[in-house]
Formats: sequence, C-alpha cells, structure tokens
Amino acid sequence: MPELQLINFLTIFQLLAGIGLLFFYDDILRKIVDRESRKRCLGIINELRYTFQIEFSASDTKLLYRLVDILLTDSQEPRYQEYFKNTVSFCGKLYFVFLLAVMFVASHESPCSPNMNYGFILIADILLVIAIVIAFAKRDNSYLKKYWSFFFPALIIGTVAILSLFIPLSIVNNLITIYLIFASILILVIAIVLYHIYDNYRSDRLQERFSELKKEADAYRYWAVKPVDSLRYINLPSSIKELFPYTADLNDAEKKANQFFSQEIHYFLNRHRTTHVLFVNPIKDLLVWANSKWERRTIVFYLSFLTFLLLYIVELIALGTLN
Amino acid sequence: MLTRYQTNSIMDTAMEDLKGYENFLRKLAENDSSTIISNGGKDHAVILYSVLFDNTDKEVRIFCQSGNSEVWQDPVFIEALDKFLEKPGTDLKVLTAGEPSLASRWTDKENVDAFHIQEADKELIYTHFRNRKCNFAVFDKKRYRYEFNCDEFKAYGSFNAPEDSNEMAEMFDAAFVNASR
Repeated sequence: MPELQLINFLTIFQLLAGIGLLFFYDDILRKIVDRESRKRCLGIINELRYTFQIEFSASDTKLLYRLVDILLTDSQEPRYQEYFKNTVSFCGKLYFVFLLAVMFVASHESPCSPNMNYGFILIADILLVIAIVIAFAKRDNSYLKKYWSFFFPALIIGTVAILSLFIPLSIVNNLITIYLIFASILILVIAIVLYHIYDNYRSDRLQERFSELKKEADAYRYWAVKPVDSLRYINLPSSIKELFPYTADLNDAEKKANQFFSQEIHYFLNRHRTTHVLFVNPIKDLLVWANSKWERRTIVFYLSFLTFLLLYIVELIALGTLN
Repeated sequence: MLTRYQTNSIMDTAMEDLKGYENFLRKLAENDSSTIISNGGKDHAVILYSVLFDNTDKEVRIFCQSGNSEVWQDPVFIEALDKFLEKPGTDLKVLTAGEPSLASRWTDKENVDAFHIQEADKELIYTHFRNRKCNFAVFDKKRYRYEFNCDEFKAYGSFNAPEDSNEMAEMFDAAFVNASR
C-alpha cells in the first residue's frame, strides 16, 4: 500500500490556493487593514506633528508616519497601514505560488503510483517560511511593492518545489513534509496576528508617550512666554527643570528644551523602528485589547483566526488518522 | 541635482504640509484650544497670522521690529490682514522697536495706527520676556503669538490664553499711549 501522498490533500490545497488568490486584490486587503484605531492614531500624530512644528524635522515626521504604517505622499488622503498590507499581500501571494507548485507535483501522482520523495518541496517550504519571517520582521518593507521582490522569490520557491518531480531527494518522511506544508500557513497566520497585536501595542505606546510629551511642552512654553514668573518655573515637570536653572539664558533654555523634545521623538522612533513582533508580550496586549472598545473588524479578525486554528487542529488529527 | 519630478514632488509635499497645518490651526481656533503651539519659519508664521486674523473680531496689537519683514510682505499675510481691516469696528495698533517702515497700504487706512516705541517701554518688554529681540501680537486679548527668535520667525502661540494675552495687551497699551504722545 502506498504511503501518504500529496494527491490525498489536493482538495484542501485547492481551497488554500483559492484563499491565497485573494491576496492579489489590494483593495480587499486595504479594507481589512484600515481600522478605526489607525485613524485615531493618525489624528494624534498629526496633532503632535503640528504642535511640535519647530521641534520636528521633515525627516522625523516622515519616519513617524512610517512607524505607524501611514503613507503620506502618494495621495492627498493618508493611507493607513500600507506596509502591513504590503507584507500580508507579499506573503499570501508567495504561499499561493508555493501551493500551485505543490499541486503541480501532486497532479503527477496517482493512488497506485510509487512514492515520490518530497525533499525539494520541503526545501521550498523552508524558503517560504524564511521569506515570511523576513517580510514581517522588517518594518520598512516598501520594497515589497516592487515587481521583482515578488517575482524572484516566487520563481525560486516554485522551481525548487517542482524539482521534486525530477530529483528524488529525501530529507524526512512524507508525512512530516505534509505536516510542514500546513505548518507554514499557520506560521503566516500567526505572523499576521502578532503583527496586528504589535501594531495596536505600538500605537498605544505612541499615544501615551506623546500625551506626556505634549504636557511637558505645554508647561515649558507656558513658562517661556513669561520667564520672569518663578511660579511657572517651579511648576515645570522635573524632566524639563533638570535641563536648565531658573536664571539660565533663555536662548540656552530654548535650545536645551528643543533638543530634549527632539531626542524624545528620536528615542521613541529608534526604540520601535527595529523592534518586531517577537519582542511583544501578546498575552498582555490581548488582555488590553479585550478590555478596550471592541471594533467590528478586530472581532472578525480574531474570530477568523480562531476558526482557522480549529480547522487546522482538525486537519492535523485527520492526517494522523490517515497515516 | 534634483529632477523636475523630484522638485515638484517636494513642492507638493510642502504644500500639503502647509494645508494640513492650516487645517490643524483652524480646528484649534474653532475649539478654543488652550494648547500652546510652536511655530517657525516664514511660511508657517504667515499661516498662523492669517488664522489668528480670521478669528479676531475687534483689535490686533503687534509689537515688531519694523513692520516690513518678509512676513508683512507675504501675499497670504496681506490678504488676511486686509480682510481683517475690512471688518467693521476693527482696529490694528502697531509698535515698532526700530523706525516704523510699514507699507503705505497699511498706514493709509483709518483703523491702523503705528508708532515707534519709547526706549523705556521697549526695555520693559524685553525684561518681561527676558529677550533682547522679540516680537509679539495679541488678538482680542485672548490669542497671542510670541516670537522669541525674530530671525527664524520662531514663536509660541495660543488661541485661548486670556491670562498671557491680557498681560501682553496691558504692557502694549501702556507703551502705545507713551509712543503716541
């Protein structure tokens, strides 16, 4: 009796490829990732950008928008979470191509044919996972919009997977390879969810830190308008008072305050620019999310994830039974 | 060297930025916000002035170096000030630290008065702000723009700060009386 074959899972591969096809439609993705919290975040950033008009350089402002995935220059209306959309789109499309290659290999099998070795499919699967991880780990992924950024990885992954037809390479047994094909889609979905959670987390931190910064700036400016008022100096937050004494030259005080606010922005940018989903505490953020106002899209998003997880577990059980 | 596309793109972004800034200021004015904003550069200064003029019903007091800076010559500023002075019952008082050199288009108007501030009053203003070279403008004793760096047009401003605005207006009025004698 032949061992487990890819052809046994052709229907589910077709279903998954159908889902992968949706990732080619940018408008659908844009609708999914544009959320109310993102719009609120944009409002806060705009407010801060203009409240700190002197302190923010043009490059800082650009970085700030990129940090919260807002694209400013391409249209009159800012677009939200463009980089997130690019990442999701790139990974989904790549998975689609991978599944096409897998189905192509499976179409050469029949229930009675001798077992094929899926070593190259496994290598293609590993390459796919690496591509997914890199795409999600790197925040600034505007390059993912370029045609070659999709074309070349897709070509490599597809070709490597199809090599299974011609070169019998055996790395692990076929059951594990099939498990790993399904695992890669789970990795993609988990990456999307973690990215989503991290985005919420970062937006919250941004709002918190900027609210504090605004309070500090208000207090400093209130004093700077009437620097002879000692009470206003006394009421300055300690973070500002540390910068200069009451009797300091005003130009010096201004320079130091300006530097302080610019540095705070830089600090925030640098801290959150390279950090990625791996450093987040998802449980804590899920709890924060659960206590906040529920957004319809967020609920749909998480329910879809849970449904997928359930289906995945069922699939795993079915795989085990078949074997 | 920048291509024409790059130059246009930079200009578009700058225009968008100024438009966004103006919308932000108009919203602050609409909401009577007491937030103190920072404002720098000629283009942004002109926009803040124009929004302040649009939201002033009666009187504007301006203490400046000569009344002939780049800001005073900017078409957006000229249009906003013209619009303000055309409103019935409005009044513009200007005090200059140096010799006043306001354009005749302003001094010819009945509701505009400009004088050279007396040295003692100038000292009082500089002591109040602890700044040897500064400008300020008060709008209806409620809103102000205080320019602490005249060379780069760097300033702080608020649309709802009656305490500071009143204080600046009182200081200005005392100096204005002395200058007009």
